[in-house]
Amino acid sequence: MSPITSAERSRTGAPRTAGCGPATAHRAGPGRIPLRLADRYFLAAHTGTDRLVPRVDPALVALGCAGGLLAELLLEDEIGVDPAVHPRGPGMPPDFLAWSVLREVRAAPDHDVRTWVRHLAPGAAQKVRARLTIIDVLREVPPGRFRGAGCRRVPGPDRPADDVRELFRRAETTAPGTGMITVPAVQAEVCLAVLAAATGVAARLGLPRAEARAAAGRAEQWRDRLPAGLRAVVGEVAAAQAQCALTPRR
Amino acid sequence: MQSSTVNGSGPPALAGARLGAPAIVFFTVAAAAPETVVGGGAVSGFAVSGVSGIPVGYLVIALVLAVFSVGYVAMARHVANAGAFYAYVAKGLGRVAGTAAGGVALLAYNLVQVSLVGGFGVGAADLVRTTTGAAVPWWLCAAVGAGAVAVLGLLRIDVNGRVLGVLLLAEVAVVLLYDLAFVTEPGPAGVVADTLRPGQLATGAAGVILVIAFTGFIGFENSTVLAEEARDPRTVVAATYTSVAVIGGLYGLSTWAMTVATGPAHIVGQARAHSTELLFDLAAQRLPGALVTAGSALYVTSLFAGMLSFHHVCARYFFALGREGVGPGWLAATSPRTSAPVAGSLVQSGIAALAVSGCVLGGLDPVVHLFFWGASVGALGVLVLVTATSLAVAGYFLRAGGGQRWSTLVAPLVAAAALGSVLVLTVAAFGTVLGVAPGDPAAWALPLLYVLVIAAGAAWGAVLRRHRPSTYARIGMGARAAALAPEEEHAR
Repeated sequence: MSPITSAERSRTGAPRTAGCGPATAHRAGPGRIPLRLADRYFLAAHTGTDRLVPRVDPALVALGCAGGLLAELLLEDEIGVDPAVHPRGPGMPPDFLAWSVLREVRAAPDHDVRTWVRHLAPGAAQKVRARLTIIDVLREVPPGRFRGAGCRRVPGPDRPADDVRELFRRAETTAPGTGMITVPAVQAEVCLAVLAAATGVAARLGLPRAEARAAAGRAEQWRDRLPAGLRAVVGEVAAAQAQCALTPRR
Repeated sequence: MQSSTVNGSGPPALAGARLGAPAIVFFTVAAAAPETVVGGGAVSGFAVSGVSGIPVGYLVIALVLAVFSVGYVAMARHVANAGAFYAYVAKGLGRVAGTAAGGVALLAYNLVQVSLVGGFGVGAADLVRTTTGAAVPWWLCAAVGAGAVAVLGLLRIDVNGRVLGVLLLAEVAVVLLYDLAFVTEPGPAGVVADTLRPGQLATGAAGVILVIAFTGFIGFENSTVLAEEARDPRTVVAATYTSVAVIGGLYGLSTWAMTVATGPAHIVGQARAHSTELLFDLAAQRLPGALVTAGSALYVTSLFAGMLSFHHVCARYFFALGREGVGPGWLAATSPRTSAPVAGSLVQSGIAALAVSGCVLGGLDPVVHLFFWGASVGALGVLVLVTATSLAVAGYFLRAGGGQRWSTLVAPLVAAAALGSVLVLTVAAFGTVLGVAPGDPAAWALPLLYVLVIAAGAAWGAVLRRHRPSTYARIGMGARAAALAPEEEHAR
């Protein structure tokens, strides 16, 4: 175990055990259901008050959400990567979307992470949006004269975009040191930041140029310090992002 | 571990699957732009080289590429960046050779793209003149076309599949209709098969015939780009063979029909007199004007689709080389809004603008020097890549093992020998290909460009191996270059 591990653990107070818990769920206000990793990524990847607008290409948002859904299950020890994705936990994720993804993994084990990212991406953003609507973080907006149906944020304390900005601004305290990141809560935070960087969301959060450049480098360092499974997920999301650039739209 | 597909019930099949062989053939043949080749490339070939045996060249090259495709498709599943020849070379012949191949690919595909810009300018100017009577300079049309391609490139938009399909069907229908008219109403020599006689290839013109024919097939390699979206590996195999057969058959038939219409002895003279309008002038003597105008319009749209397609290919190459660290890192810049490889796209557009400007300022003939020379020199580079890829397939399977002996060793080596022969014949007769006088420096200087690029690329690869081993380990990985740890790449 690296020397930073105990420091991280004492700072975050995160338990080592997995489960439905705090590893992927972000602190929420009183009476609110905590946001999960993919939810926070989705919110960070959108802007706008009356109607959410993606900060980046919707295809990239979908990739980030797919990566977020897989990362949630990894952080909760519901699945493992070796390098094929396989189920291994108690099979009790805390919400229906996570459960449905896990059910798919159980039905078709032994596919690689790349395949799962590609498989989940097409509907991932819509599913995460629906989950956020169910827990009353988003509210549907009916179609207007010139625009289709959309959604808007319900005012609340969660500010994932600010969280990602802060993660990069306070990089030294987010995950100090150079060893492997082992505390689940810190892994979740770092995973969110790396997914945001890999899909271009971090570059569009309004960070000053120097901070944005530093954030890109920081994200690469963090990626290498994640456990193998999470590293594979964020790596495959980055590869899929590049594949988007290589594939013209028809 | 190979990438698999997910389907909860039963054997692996990609979610939302997928493309069958007809769809892949469609995209591949459309990328080869049939009317551009028949009405533009082949006619310019007749005119500039003075050789009439081009039709048999299409059939022979189709045969050679069919043998090449055996190994090419067999290896596609083992290459991360399956549409790029240099990725095969890196995997099969080593990364130093891969870097050299990357340089050759950049030069060759950019030349093909700028040649299409020149062809589009002339074709569009001709169309405007024949339909409205207005004389528009070719460079203005080229600039408009290149500008539109630049914008679409930045938006990462290729021609829509359905639009491409309709245009392709219309193009093929028009070309076949023209063929029928030429054969049923032949020239003074009647329906003769002189230009299809294999004996043409026993003359000194063999290299000329074969490289001009090879030019028409550039783009056939796209079939493996769609491999990941295909129903299963056999689909890609079937689609690749079908595409090569369709392209070879269509080009061979159509160029032969043109020689029937003029008479084999007069095809060169007629091509020189009418340039890229020959196909339509011959059709105008036999068919209603509306069909000729439709054919001219489709010729221009075919050129535009080809121009856009090769723009994306070039932008992809710039992006992949930047991402792998072989080129400057800024080449890997993408647009967060559209995911387009903006830097690669802008660089390619800049090259096209420079080429058109240079042609105008230098007072060069856009058909001969931009369209035909560009395509021929580009084809020479692609020929080098295809030959190296054949060797790479054999080299890869010799090391990695697996597969059937025919597809992994025999066919690639037979293809390498055949393509190598075509390459030698082509270089020996390159002056004739370009239509220059004996002793003209262009005949050796243009092929020499590739020698320089290969030397520089290999030297750069050696530098990377020595000083940047992690970058070196990622050569040929394309989109996945930054995603994998070096040890994973070695394992692959």
